[in-house]
Amino acid sequence: MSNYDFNSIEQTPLLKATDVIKQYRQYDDVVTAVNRATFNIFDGEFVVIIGASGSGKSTLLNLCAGLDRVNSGTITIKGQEITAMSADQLGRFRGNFLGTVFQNHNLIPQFTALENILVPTLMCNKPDVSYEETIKKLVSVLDLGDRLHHLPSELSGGQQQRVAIARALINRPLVVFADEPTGNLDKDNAEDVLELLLETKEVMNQTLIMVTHDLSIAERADRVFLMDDGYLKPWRHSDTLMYPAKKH
Amino acid sequence: MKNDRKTKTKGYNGFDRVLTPIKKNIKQYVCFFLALLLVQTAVMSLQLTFFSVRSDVEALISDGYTVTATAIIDGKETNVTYTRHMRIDYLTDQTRTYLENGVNSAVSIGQNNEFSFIDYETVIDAVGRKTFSAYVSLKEPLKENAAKFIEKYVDVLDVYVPGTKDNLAISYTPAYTVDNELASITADNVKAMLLATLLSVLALTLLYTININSFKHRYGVYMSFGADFKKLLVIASRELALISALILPISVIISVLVNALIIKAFTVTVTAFFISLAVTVGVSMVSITVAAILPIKRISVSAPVDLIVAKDNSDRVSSPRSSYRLFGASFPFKYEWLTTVRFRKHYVQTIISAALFCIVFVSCMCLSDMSRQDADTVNTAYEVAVYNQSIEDGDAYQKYLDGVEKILKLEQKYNFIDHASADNSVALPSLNSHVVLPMSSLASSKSHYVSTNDPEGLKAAAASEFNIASYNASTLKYLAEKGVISIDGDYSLLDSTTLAHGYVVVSEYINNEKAFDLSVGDKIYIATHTGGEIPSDYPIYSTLDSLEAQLEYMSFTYKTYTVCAVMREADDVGNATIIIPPDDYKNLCGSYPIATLKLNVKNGSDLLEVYSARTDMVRDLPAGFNWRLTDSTDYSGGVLLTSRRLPTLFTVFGIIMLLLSPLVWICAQTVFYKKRETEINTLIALGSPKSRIKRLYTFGACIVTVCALILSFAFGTLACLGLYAASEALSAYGFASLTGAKNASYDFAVPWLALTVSATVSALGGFVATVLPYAELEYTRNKNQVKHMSPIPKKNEREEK
Repeated sequence: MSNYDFNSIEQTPLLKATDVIKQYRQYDDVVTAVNRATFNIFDGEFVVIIGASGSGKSTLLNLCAGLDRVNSGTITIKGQEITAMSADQLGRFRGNFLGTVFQNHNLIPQFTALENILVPTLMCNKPDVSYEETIKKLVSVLDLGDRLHHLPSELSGGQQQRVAIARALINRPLVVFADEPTGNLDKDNAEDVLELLLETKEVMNQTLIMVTHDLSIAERADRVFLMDDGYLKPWRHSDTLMYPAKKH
Repeated sequence: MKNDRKTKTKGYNGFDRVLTPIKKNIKQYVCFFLALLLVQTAVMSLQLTFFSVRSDVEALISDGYTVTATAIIDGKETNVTYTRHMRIDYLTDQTRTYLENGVNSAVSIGQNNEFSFIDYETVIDAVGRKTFSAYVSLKEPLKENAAKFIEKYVDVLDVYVPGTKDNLAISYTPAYTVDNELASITADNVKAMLLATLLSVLALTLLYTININSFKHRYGVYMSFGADFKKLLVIASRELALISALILPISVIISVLVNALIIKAFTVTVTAFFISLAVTVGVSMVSITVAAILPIKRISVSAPVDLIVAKDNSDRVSSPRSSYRLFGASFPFKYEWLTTVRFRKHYVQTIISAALFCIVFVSCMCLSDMSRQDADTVNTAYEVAVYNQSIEDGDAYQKYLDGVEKILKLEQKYNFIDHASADNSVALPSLNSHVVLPMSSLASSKSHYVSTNDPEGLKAAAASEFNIASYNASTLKYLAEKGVISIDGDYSLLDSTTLAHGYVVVSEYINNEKAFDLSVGDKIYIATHTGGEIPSDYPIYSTLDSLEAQLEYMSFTYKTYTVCAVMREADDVGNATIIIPPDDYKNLCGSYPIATLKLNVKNGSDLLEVYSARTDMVRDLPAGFNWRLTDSTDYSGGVLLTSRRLPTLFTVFGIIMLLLSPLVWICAQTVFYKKRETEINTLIALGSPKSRIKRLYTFGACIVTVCALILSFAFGTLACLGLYAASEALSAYGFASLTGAKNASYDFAVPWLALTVSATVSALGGFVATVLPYAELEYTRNKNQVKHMSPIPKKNEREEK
């Protein structure tokens, strides 16, 4: 492990974002994908971010997962300000504490399922972690036993997503970020994947932050945020189940 | 989990971890295989060539030792082994003591960085005086330490005994020349290896940067799961190291073949082979590690999400709008043109890459031609001269002349001798002498004479820019036959001359400019100094000043000569020449003329054969004189390399580079059409007929063929012109040529053959490389059709399967 001292990490809030802004330049225009997002996420929570397509929710998730850089604002995870870390520090931090499930899986097409699952173990060696035990458990839970030596192109969408989940969990991260993990799946598969994520969250005592369009998933979350054209606001069950119309 | 899976899981952590990405992304790595093949072949070939040159020079060392040792001194053959580098002769007892004390004190206080050993030898000279010679073994670098030794120990002898240094004779043994040469070859090799490493790093960095898009997604995923710069660098370096190891055997085989081609023999020793292999591996390892740093650093500072979502858009234009603007609203009028413009970046990159290999090929051919020209200008010659002996007796002189004739005949025995030449000339001003000529014999230039009267009182011209030489008629006949001189008149009269009235042969050129216009029968007068001295305060700034002073203050007797023959178009770099009879030469110079004979070696001769014949040549020298045979060219590894190997080396590398051009085409086009698979399949799905698809490929093939042909030709010509222009420009500033010669100039000729070959290979490579993917597409489609048409197995058969 690295330079991070677990003892020095505060317990709450687990993730704290303050005035986070992310902008993109598209030709001559500047698009503000995330506009002054400020929120806290606590240890063990299951938080869902919903919103219309292009509203900036995936961008916010990427920023929180340390996969993208903010233009301004700070994001702190377990007391460590990831927005102030160098690229290498951030890389090690991601490897040690964070796991990500991408919407389109992002499996390496030339690697088998098992090889894809093992990628994080090769990137970040944790000598105190028994990967073999974890793999066994994950493979059993995710029901990937007979597909481990297949290439991603030989797997169904649901199987690919399960491989992606296994990959995100192999290093036993503290926080799992999932970007529409059920977006490309049919209803049964989507339900399975959600159950898996929630189950592993409970088993591994993780915090799960998920971006989704699916309001049924939002109903099962501890807290839900709504992303509306770059602005983040809390969303309640009593609110309308319809998304606000996307501004053009 | 089953046991076999456990094993597989563990296996992935070892060798497979590195091999798997390469195996599964082989197309992305093909260019690295090729680049490393080239780097390793180049390095190993250079190393093997270096060892070949070194062993040649070492062979010459032993040859040099024995050849010099068998030089006949006073009719005796003596074997001498040179183990010291420097020799200081004529030390007296006193100066020897000073030198010894200085050396001993430097040794005692540990300041002898210049030499490793010194010993002394007592020599009794002809008159019985005892002198000492010091022999010094120098430390590396020999040249610098020799200078330091002289400055530190020999120069100071003047302080103790003034004037000592002028009486000393400092000479260098063959061991100095040879050791110096070996050191310089080693230094050249180190420089070549550093340059090779630098170029490999540059090439691999460029390659990595160009191909970085292929790695973005995978490295982005790695980074998402914790990989930092160090980890990515280790991954990249290990991958390249594995590629390097896989390609090494092929590189080694090619290198050995290339080396055999260059030196025209399989003479690689085991030691040389393994050292070359180690250097090759070392250079490869350093190159791949350093080459990966910059591109990986660039990746590691990117946001992983940018890398993951980044598509391989390296072949596409950045903004679709710009391509429409380029051709106006009516574009596209043909789908083929649209795709050509859309993928223009790919076409430009690939065509330029392929053209670059052609440029390198044409440049190599030009360099080969230049080095061949260099090799042709290397004038190797053996000089034969009587050492430290004068001839004052007429009979001895006749014996000497017989000896010279015998030496000249060596040409018939050794067929590498082109011709022999002789030189025994002495400048007239050094003899305080001049020539008086009739005014009618002067050419247009007035700067070579002063007016005077001849001994008969007629108005005449005095000139001193003459050399006096003496050859007999048979020597002149030989030189004329060999084309060394062009001579008009009856020069056989030289042998029938008498002391009372002599005949001479004259040349008319001073520094290749016609200064005199003499005819057969003209009378000239050669002055012999009889008395008088030029005052020391007389202002002398030129040869004419000196001549005027001679005429004013000195007294002379004049001997009359009749011109019996005139040397025309003689290559006189310095003074004009007057060839006089030997007895007159003795009267004028004090002893009979002893010539330095030059046995000029034919251009393009095998120098090893030439050098190895020296021992026999020494044995063939006539007895009775202190003949000494030396070569005017040093044991130069550079000369050997240039004359024998450099042209072939350039040609072989040029051909390797040219052969890489089609490989670049095939790799680039295969990957390109692989990327366009979706587009092609969509076109097929949308109902595009087979002919249309074929046309798409053929159009692409034609585009690349024409472009490759034109660009290869154009770039090749430019490269060739640039190379010659650069050599001319550098030469003007005194930079050395390939052989180290200063101010060398090369004859420029457009290498039409090389240009045509390179353009043809490039164009054909482009055409075939574009047509191949279509053939593959057709094959796949046909195969699929056959598969679908095959009978469907029954249910129980399927289950059995």
